[in-house]
Amino acid sequence: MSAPVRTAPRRIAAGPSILPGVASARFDLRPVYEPLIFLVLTSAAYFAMPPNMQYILGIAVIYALLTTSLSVLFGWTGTYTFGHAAFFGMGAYAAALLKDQAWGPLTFLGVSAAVAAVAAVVIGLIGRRLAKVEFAMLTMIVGQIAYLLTFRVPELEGDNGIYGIPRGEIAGVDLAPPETFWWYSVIVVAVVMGLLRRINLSSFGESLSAIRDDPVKAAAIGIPVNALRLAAFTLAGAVAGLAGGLFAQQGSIVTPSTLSFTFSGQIIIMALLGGMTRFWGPAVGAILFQFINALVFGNTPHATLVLGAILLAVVLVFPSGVLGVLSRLRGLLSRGRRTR
Amino acid sequence: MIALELRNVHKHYGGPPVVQDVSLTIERGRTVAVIGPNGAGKTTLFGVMAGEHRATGGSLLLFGKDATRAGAKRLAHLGVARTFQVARYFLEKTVEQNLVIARDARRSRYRNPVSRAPRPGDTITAALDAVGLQDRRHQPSSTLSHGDRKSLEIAMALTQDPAVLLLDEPTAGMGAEDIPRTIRLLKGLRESRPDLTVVITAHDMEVVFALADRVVLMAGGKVALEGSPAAVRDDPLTREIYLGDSYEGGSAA
Repeated sequence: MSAPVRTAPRRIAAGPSILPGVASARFDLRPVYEPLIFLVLTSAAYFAMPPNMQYILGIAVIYALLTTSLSVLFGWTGTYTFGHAAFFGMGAYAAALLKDQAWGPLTFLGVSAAVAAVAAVVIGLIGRRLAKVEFAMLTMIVGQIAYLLTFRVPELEGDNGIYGIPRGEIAGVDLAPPETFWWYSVIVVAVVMGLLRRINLSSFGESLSAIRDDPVKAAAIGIPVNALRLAAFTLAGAVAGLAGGLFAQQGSIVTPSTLSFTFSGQIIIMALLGGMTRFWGPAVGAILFQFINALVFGNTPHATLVLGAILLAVVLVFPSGVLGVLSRLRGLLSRGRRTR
Repeated sequence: MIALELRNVHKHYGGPPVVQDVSLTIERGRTVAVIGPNGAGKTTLFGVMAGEHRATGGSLLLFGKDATRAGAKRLAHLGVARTFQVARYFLEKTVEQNLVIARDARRSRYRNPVSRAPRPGDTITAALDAVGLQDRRHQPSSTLSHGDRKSLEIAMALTQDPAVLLLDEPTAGMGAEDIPRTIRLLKGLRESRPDLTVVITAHDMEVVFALADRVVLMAGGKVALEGSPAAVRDDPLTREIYLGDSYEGGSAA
């Protein structure tokens, strides 16, 4: 007979802790070294590339952040959303509308994230009690409304978009030259990816995955399902908005296509390509997608159609994405070695 | 002290009532079995006790406090742990991770987006030992046998240090060798935790007789009979209710 008898709640697991009082037996360094590897690899590639490729990679790392924010919902929480571009676009338009403010570039990013976060809270609260598919429809409708508003509100300039968004400077360093801006954007992306990784590995992140696996069971063990879904939605919106702000600074122009339904679909495709069962999958998918799109299909008239068909095949054959396939291959290889 | 009390509980889903006018008082430290043929309203009543379904009438009291509108999440934090008829757990996780999530949920650790989940500690090991899943600790939970899944759910409940344990068909679908083990486990739990209140729904009369202090027989959404296991078994009404239902004739014998 060995039933669990607990005399007192044991909050801190035994073992050395780097920070005294912090309930963690071993400090997890993945949120530090993984973004560093990302930064080193992408930067090495950047400086080995011709300028036209550098331009593509510059956009791709911003999309890497965007697809990872989508994965907070799709991959971590099991919440489906078909209007994620709306938050990206809101962040971009927030930076564009406020372009005359004498703020530093990081302040702009903060504002972009905040605007999108507020929008996400409102939408999340409206859809709080909706079931999976209904919620996805709500996000799609909101995305369409945001898209149409750019044509209805004169200040948003419709199809022309808003020009002249400054890159600004940080501590006297002008961000206008492409290489300087590369460092700025890749560092911002890496830092935010590190924060997301930390959240992903936390008890909060673990609870999100419990909700994804079985929301009824999650509630039965005491997890506040609706509150955590709302928190995840807000986090995803904020990060998408930040990516939008960065995108506006990078291109110095914002057009309605940043919040179109087509782009929402493209975000999902990019994330699926890399695989949302792994933290870095969507980021890898975004970068791959941008290069496949530009290199292979850049000049054919039916690029999107061909790309769509290929991606459909990838998703059907390898539902866990490129990273999933790689890790399965690695598993097969090591098993082969063992039997030999 | 009364752990759980139902007062005139009604439940309907828009149609005829599934549970009508059920009143029950369950004292702390007791084990009560709710039995009855299929469709008698056992599982719905269970859902009301666990906060999964809200009663459309009547009230639910937990240790004397009203908990009618508390909901599943709140009840879990008030010390009500439950298992499901078809075991529910987190498929993508290992056995150990399932237990860690359950333990941390009770401690409200989901509020923490920064620090890492604490390592599995003694609570987890003790729960694994109790249900005999030590060897499967690092196994993906999706690969468990049916009986082991039921055991995993019980272990998850144990990590939550419950005051009230609701077990919906704890031995349903288990292999013949797992049933006595589960009965031993639950008996042991009662001895080591005399304050623990347990409510079981069961088809298996072996389980009911081994564990229950009191049996509540439900039929047609109402309490038909209530008393000691022997008294309920020997009552002619029990025979009548079960024989009237061709599916359940065998299990009442």
